[in-house]
Amino acid sequence: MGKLFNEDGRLRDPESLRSIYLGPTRTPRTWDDGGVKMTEQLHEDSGAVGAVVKEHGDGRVDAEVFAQPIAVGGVA
Amino acid sequence: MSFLPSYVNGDFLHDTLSGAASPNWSTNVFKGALFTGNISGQDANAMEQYGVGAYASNQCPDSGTYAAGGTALDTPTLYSPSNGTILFKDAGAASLVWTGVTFAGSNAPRGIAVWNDTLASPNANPIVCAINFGLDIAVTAGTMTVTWNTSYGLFYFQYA
Repeated sequence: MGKLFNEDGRLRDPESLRSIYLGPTRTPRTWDDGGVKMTEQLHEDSGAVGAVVKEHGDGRVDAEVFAQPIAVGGVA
Repeated sequence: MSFLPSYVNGDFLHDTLSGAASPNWSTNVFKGALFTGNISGQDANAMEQYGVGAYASNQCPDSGTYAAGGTALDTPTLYSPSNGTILFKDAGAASLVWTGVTFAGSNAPRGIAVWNDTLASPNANPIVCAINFGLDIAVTAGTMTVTWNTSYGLFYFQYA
């Protein structure tokens, strides 16, 4: 389960909270895109989709990472 | 040895706000460099520089179009989309993309460090922020893409 608070005790940013609501039990999707195998990989901490991996079948593997933005500070 | 949770470097932020450092968030060159999960010694509250200390090693190896130091953001921008929020984003490109790369095993990137390749003082090449991908990303003779968040960019401040 992702954490609701950062290590400094502040509430995490909305993007992270939204990802947490998806839940740790979310099953990464896998689908076929014209013969290319697409697989979601989950962010280990937040449970959000951290990346999508594309396996072409000829050994080539692409990856797109979704960089989660960093929340700085907040209302104390 | 592990990539820290994502952070904006506090020491660089302090230097910026105090005037000790004078980055231009639009015209300076900001690069994103990939590092593996073996990186060691990151410190969000100490001055960090590309090529020094934690960032002197454990960068993903040159492969395909990826070369040491990484790739520059297209159009770095400090932007205020609404009252109470300031964010740093790339207004010119949604992603950094490298083609024909192989990052496997211990060379798989775990995160990206964004550093200023323009500033020379008070510390050259300061680390601005580091984003942990949340997992190691392996690619084989393929395309590695790091896509920024469309709403919040690389990092953001909310002050109200």
